[in-house]
Amino acid sequence: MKAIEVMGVKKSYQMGEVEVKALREATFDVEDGEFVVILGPSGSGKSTLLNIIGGMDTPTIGDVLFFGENISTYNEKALTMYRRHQVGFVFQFYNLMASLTAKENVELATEICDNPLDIDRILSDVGLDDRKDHFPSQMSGGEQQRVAIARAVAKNPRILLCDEPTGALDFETGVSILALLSRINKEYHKTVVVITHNASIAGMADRVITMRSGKIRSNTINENPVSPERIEW
Amino acid sequence: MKKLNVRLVRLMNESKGQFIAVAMVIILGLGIFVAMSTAALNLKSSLNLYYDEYHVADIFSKVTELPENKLKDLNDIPGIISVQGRVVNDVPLKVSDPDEKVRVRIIGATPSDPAINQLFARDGVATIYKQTDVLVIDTFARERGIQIGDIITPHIMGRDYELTVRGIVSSPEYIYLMENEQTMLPDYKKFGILFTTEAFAQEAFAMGQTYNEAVFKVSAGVDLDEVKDEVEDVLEPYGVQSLYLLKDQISNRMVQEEIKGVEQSSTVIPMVFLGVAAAIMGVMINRLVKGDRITIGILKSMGYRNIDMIKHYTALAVFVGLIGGVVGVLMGSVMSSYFTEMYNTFFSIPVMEVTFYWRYLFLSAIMVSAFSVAAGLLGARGVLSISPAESMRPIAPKQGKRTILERTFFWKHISFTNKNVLRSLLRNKKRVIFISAGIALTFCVILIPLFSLNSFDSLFGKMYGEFQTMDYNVNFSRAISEDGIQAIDDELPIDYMEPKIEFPFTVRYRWKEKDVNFIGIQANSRFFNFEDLNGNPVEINAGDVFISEGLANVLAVERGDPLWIETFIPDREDQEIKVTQVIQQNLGANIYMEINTMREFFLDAGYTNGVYIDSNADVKAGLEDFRFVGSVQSLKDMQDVFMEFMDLMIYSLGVMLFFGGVLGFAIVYNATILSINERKLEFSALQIMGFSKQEIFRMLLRENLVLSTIGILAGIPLSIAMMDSVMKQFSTDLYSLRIEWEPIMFVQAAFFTIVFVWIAEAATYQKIKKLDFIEALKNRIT
Repeated sequence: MKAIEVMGVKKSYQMGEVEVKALREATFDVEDGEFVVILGPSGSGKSTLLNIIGGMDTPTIGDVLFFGENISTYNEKALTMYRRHQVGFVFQFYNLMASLTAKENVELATEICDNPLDIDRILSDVGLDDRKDHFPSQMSGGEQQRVAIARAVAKNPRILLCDEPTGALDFETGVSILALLSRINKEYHKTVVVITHNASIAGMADRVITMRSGKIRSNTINENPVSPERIEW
Repeated sequence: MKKLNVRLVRLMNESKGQFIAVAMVIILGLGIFVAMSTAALNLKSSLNLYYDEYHVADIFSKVTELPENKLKDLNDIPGIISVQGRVVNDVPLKVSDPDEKVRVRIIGATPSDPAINQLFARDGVATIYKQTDVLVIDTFARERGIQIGDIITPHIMGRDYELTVRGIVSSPEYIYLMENEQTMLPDYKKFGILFTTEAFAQEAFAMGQTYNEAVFKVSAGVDLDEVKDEVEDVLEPYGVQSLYLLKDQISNRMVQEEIKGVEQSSTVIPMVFLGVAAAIMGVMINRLVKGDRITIGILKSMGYRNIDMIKHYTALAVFVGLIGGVVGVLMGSVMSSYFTEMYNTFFSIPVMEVTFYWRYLFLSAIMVSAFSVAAGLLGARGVLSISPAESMRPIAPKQGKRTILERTFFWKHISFTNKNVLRSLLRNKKRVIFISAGIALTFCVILIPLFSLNSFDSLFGKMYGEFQTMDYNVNFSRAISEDGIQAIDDELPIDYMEPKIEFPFTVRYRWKEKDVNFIGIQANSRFFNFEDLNGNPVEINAGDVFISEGLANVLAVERGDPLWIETFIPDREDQEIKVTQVIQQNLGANIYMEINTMREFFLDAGYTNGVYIDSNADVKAGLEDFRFVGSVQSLKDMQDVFMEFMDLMIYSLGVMLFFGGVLGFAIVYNATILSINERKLEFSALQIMGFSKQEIFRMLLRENLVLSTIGILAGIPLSIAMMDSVMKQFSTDLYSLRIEWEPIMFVQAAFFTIVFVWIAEAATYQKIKKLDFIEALKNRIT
């Protein structure tokens, strides 16, 4: 079953006095339960694409279907509900609430959901059993990213969108985060889309989409994904 | 608790200084509102209850001689429930210190049925039957330490009478004890009321079976003016000197004016404070939303709606508002009992009730909610424009433009630090306007008490130093011939003396009517320096009619307008006179005529009922020895009372200064903290360039010094406009407050403003010291 169908999506926006054409043409599909890596250098439009898939932004032209539903026709209210129930985001800079503990950061997300997962179990699964009452400032970057992942997963979304999840982390921590995402993909049966400029990560994906200058360059199925622990960069 | 609310509480905890400063402004605003509104309502309801239960008279009259048997005729007038005849005269009271001059008003009346002006016994009894017994008004007794069983000795018509105090009482007629309208303030130590039996007063004053005053109780719902006209007709043959309603009675007027003043203040001051709090809160939330741009984006990406976000930030304002509101209402309730206590010192109302009115709690809740929600919504509206995707992208740098100043020749000669200061100000116009407006308002709040102090000082100085210059103002208890006046000159060391007439008449102009004290003075009097409304000196001559400014305003009379004068004097027709000049007079409402013109129009040739005296010697006691002398007012007595009043004023000044200080502190402290938070990156960069934290702080100080200067300069015209409106609001026919601007007041207000700004600055220094500049340089960390 197709989880995501991106069809002829273009996106441009104004930044100061400059018009940025972030997406020139993007078309691809993602199957339910896949681990997808979208690969591309900075400025290739991958973050914009992720934002559109996640309902944080709307395409200028084109359609995005989520399990057959065209979300590009959604109004703001419908998009909000879509983000609330269907999507979990993980960002490069974790973006945790500094004034909330790890557990409270997760609760912040689950409080507005209909069918959240058990928070303590998730925190335990991401390896933060004994750190859940700590504030972000008391945690390492890797731990903060684990909280961010727990926050995204605990909502029980159908898809997890990760924007450079290892971008701010050292190699070992990065690998552990990738392993965690891989485990969530398999154990929780979540479709995971990771965008990155790090080509090494592509090795663990079921599907690899490459981008350049706002266009999809390739969309290939990886027949033999490797475990994250075997990745090196 | 919802996790968003947990974040809110922790956010407030992190910036508690700022929120406490705003809460303080709300506390003061609502505290003043509750305290003043409650006090005004307590005073009003207590006054009404007192008047009702102790049957205050509805009509007051003063006559030359009213036979006892005429009371029945008066009682037969339709609408009148009860009449009380009484003997009332002012006399000296003998006290242990022979140099101290104390006067008492003796009121000899038999209790009427139904009662009028019923006395309330604070101590002892409220009714006496023996001629040697006396009741003393409470305010006077308290000040002089008079107790039950004491013997007091009034000096009546050359004879001392020893009377035993049987009761300390309050009277609804003398809630605010002023000797007469010309007395600016009450002097409880020097003037009191003694209630004796009717028989004693009639005998001591040789009144036989007559009275010189009558008071009336009228049925509810009856037209008082109609009844007054009928009373006038009946009293006419007995020499009516004055006839007025309760609304014109001096004690009642003073209480009513106080209530009016407190009611006005209770709305204006809280609005200013809540408005400032809302403005600060709005700006704080606006800045917070801007700073939380990424956080808002993240929350939106999780599925939080705009309304959730707006509620989140508005809750911040509402929470601070509620805390401020609760403390403010509690403080106001406590303050209201102090206000009521203070009223108990000035106004003698034995049934004074201290009630907490729930309506003010609800009104406070509505006010604070409205201001908080408005501030929250206004500040948080920026949430709507933040899209989750955009919030992840860095903000496009602002378009850089050179300011006008940077294109001038002088720019090159300004140091780098000063350039930074000027650039920061010129590129943040909203901040400049906000802080300057706040400082301007602080300046105004500080200037108002300074101005009031100066105004009262000037009011007194002008009235008793420039406008009228006599050392003694002597009123006779009856008209005296020239021989009598000569006797004063012969017996006492008088330097200069002028005869005078003081007589009340009813003045009518169009549909407006007023009972006014007319003063007849010698042509080109040495004791009065009249000035027209433009400040030009004018002299009174035969045929002149001068009207005081306040009275002219109340009657809407101008120079050249005709006034219709109703006289109570038997065989005298009502007259029309023409106003020849409107004159400046800060205190009191009078019409002045040349003495012979007044005699010709309304009285008999040679009629005189008082004198003005200049004497370097203390002649008060000597004057009071004359049987025909009713009252003596000396400049020294007035000065003493005024000094006591000024002490009270200085206390109020301190309170107002504190209010102004809180306002200024809250504005400057919050604005500076916001500025520091927003400019962390700029300060980090400066520190990397080698600036110390002290130098950065000094830079902020310089910025605020410029803003203080702008604020103070803007505050000058603002305070002039504000005071002009305050003066118009508070001026009555009795008080004409004129704006007396003196440069020193502005200097003082500027000094205090700068002190408060400096205190706020000093409080922000801790923030600068705690700033983690390296952390600030790490961008994109929430």
